[in-house]
Amino acid sequence: MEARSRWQRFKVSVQPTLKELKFILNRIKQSPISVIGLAILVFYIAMALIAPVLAPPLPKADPYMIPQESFIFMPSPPSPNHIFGTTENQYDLWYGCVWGTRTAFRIGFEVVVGGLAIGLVIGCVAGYYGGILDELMMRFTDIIFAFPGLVLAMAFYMAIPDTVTIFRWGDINWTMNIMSLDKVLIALVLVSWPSYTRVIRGEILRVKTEDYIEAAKAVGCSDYRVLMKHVIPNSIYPIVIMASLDIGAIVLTAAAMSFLGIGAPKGYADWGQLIALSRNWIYGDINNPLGYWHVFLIPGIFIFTFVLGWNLLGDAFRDILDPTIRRR
Amino acid sequence: MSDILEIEDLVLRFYTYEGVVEALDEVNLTLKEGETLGLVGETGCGKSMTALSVLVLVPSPGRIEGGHIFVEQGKKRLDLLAQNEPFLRKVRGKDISMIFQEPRVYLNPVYTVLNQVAEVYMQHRLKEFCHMAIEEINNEIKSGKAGFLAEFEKSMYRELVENPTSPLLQIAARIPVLNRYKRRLMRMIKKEIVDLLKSMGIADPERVIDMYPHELSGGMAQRVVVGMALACNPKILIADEPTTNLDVTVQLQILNLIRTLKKKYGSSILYITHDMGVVAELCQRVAVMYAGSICEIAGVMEIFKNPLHPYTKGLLESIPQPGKEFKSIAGTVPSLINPPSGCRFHDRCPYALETCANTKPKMIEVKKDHFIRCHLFPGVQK
Amino acid sequence: MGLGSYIIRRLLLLIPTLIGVTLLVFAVSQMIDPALRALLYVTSDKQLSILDEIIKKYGLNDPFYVQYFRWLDQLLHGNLGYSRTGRGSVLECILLRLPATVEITLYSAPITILLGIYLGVQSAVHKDKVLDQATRALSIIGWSLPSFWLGILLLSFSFALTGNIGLAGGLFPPGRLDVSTQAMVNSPSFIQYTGLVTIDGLLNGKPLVTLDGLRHLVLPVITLTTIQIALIVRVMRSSMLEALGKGYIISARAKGLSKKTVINKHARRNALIPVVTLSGLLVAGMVTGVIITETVFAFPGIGRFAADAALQLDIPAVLGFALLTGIVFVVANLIVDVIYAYIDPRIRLG
Repeated sequence: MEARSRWQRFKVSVQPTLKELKFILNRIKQSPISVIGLAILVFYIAMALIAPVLAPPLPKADPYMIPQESFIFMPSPPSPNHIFGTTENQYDLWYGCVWGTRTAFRIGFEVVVGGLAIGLVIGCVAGYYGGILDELMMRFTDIIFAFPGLVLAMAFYMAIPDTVTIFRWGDINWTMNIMSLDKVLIALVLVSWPSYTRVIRGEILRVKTEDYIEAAKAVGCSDYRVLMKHVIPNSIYPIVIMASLDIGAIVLTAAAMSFLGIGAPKGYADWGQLIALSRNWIYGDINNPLGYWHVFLIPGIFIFTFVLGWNLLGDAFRDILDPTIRRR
Repeated sequence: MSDILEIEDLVLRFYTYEGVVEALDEVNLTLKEGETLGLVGETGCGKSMTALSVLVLVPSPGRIEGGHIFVEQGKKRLDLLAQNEPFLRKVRGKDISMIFQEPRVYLNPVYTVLNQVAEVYMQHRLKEFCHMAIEEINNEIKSGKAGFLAEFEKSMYRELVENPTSPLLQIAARIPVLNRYKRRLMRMIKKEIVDLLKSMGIADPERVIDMYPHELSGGMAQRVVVGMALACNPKILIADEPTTNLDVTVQLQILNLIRTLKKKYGSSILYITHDMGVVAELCQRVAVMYAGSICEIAGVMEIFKNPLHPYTKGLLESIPQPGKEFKSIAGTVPSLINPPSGCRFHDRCPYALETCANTKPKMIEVKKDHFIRCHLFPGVQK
Repeated sequence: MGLGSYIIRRLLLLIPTLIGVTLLVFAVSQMIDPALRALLYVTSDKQLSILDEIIKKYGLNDPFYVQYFRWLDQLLHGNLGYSRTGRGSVLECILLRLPATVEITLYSAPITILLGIYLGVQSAVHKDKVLDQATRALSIIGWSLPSFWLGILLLSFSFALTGNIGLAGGLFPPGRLDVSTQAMVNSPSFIQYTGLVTIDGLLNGKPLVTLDGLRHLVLPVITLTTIQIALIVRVMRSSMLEALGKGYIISARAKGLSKKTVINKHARRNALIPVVTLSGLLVAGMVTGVIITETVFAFPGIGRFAADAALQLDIPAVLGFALLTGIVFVVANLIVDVIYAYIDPRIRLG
């Protein structure tokens, strides 16, 4: 055999993955519903990426805090200066919605990745090694499942301290402030990891009994290697489906918490928070009941379509990646 | 012997996402009164679909698109495919019954045996049992043992006889106290079912009657299914591989049961199987089917001694026998989305002629009671 | 193996889960500063001034397990702590506001379940036709809607359309009752048999009270139902499709039964099985939905209480609410499991 360069070996190893991706994209193209979902998400990804261009932040300011032109209490309707108008206290809605896209993606991905990371580790250990470790883990997840998500998230939120000491030695004292939005993220990660653990453990239990696992072990593969190279790649599809469906739910829960006031702080570029600011204006003016429609309608449309996009995509994934009907 | 069932030029197509499946291609079959006709063929050749077509129960996306299914009803000869649904419902389970392959799959897991067998009685013999109930009530009244609700019960039963779908009955059925009137009826039906199950060879029917399908053994479940099919004394019984999934010993028991019951009830049986041994045991005549059409029909002895169609020959030769070399038919069963042109067997047939690829052969009577559909046997059309 | 022994087995399993629930809530409370935690043991506002003594008395610096049993003991005596927001003991605050929430749930849950089952069955039976497509589209839209946004939209539009008809706040206003009706309910001549205004109104012979209560319930119930129904429809549809493909369906039709009977008697009961287990999740969804919906509609129930408490960082209230919800959820799941065993005899062998 000729010697292959590292780059060539990498290309070869990545080929099956590329084929899978092409297959998935093809199947998505076939269903109009999933195309809509994908289109919505592409739109939002684009908006998130070029946010600084669409809505330039003020110099030297935190880009996630919405700029205020003045401090007039009443919202202003859409105008050439403010495309979407402004909310109470003159926060620019266009800015808030555009940068809110970044916040939404950040929330979705951080919580899912965090939950997955914890879920993978615990799920793998529980499923692969079984025994009493497995039992303990399952009882623990049962207890978390005993609570509705939002309720538990609220309880966790309260328990997370405002500052945390990272390093203490003698006179040196490094602390970190935890912002309210970060508290929400941590709380949501703590609430969502059990679902991933369950699914991963289930998949591992299924894969564990397959013949190729025994074969790998017979050849002397270490446990870690078996997990990494054989078990996880074969269990990944249900996880992908679950994650894409979950992002929608997580964004909704985070928005709800922001709406209730325990999420993003006032003036932060977060869709839920913008709707919270609109609560005084639901009934509009004396003579004009829908006079302030822009303050609650526009951010709501953003949340709704964002979540809809993920749900459509997740549904499409579920139909496509169902192992029983996958192959032509 | 008259023809009790005649399938003439039956065409069945399935409109699926992958294309149109030509499932049945001008199937011709006759079942004579009192006989057992075997229908053999490989999996997927259309045997089950033929059976379902007789009951006009082909699942969608299937559509029957041609042909007739003639049945003898008293002195009349009716085409089932031309009848409406309410008429067909009277036929199914009463004049023509069907039993299926895996009994525990074909019984509803959430209802007891009693519930499911009683359904047949309630559907087809309701009036008979109502009259019996009324008579029993009258006897009770005469002997002075009647309860105070006797007249009410009588009027309910009379209503059931005259007007089974009346709103009064529908409301009464839902009110817990009022629907006690049905108890008498259920008691009588239950007694009848116990006798039925006993005649099916079930040792303690009172216990079995309250069990759920998953609690029964395969053989027991199949006996229940056979009982359900024969409850109303059907003229025609269609059996779709009823013993394929059972243990060999149980298989033998069920076959014996079917044989005995046929003698007792006098039904004609269309027995579908892929097992030639069962055919030899049970049937008087045999029809061989391949890829959606019938190749050959003849008496059992005749077919074993003198198989004429190349496919039949191949089938019989491929039955493994000790000492003999293992033979099989070359090629594979074709997809029915784009079936082979002409005779569907031509690309696997060792004797194929040129015309076999172009034209479909017609069914002809080569000898007395020996029908074949093959270009090797030109002759007068049937 | 009968239904009875299955129930007993499930009841026994209930105990460790309940213990686990209390442990979790307690663990969460332990992460909080002792000064705030002390409120968990306070029973009236008089004690607020002697907080330091309470910290010492309840040994809030003692080891974990000691505190746990002390707290558990308090719990079993009904003391969940003192709520700053409600200005009363947590238990009192919750019990006071419970009837309002029960009323919303009482109307939403049956509609969600029954309508969801019906739409799911029809969707499956008429697969891919107009009804099916429309139902699935509406389901996924309902599932993607933020419930607070839906509530706001409904309020806004209902006010815009009906604000002028002379009723305060339009035809479907927020809140639970009009000021005048509330005064009537609070008056000594009105006996609160159940705490549910719609029923009490009838029992007291004052149908106007019932009507007023109902018109305040319309929008919150619509909000709650729309969000939840998607889940039931989707699961019912797919499980019905699965049931319709099974062998016993053909058997039943071969017996001469009508399509309607086969769908309703044979297919539906089998299809309901996965949906029953879903109803447990529905309870969780209701609780979550109720928190947001009550806040949007200013409905004086435990959901709004919990939301206000969370905003004020009122630890005992939030933890008490979480604990109660956990227990309710665990019990609901038990009931669901029992119903499941009743419908599907195969489970009882378990």
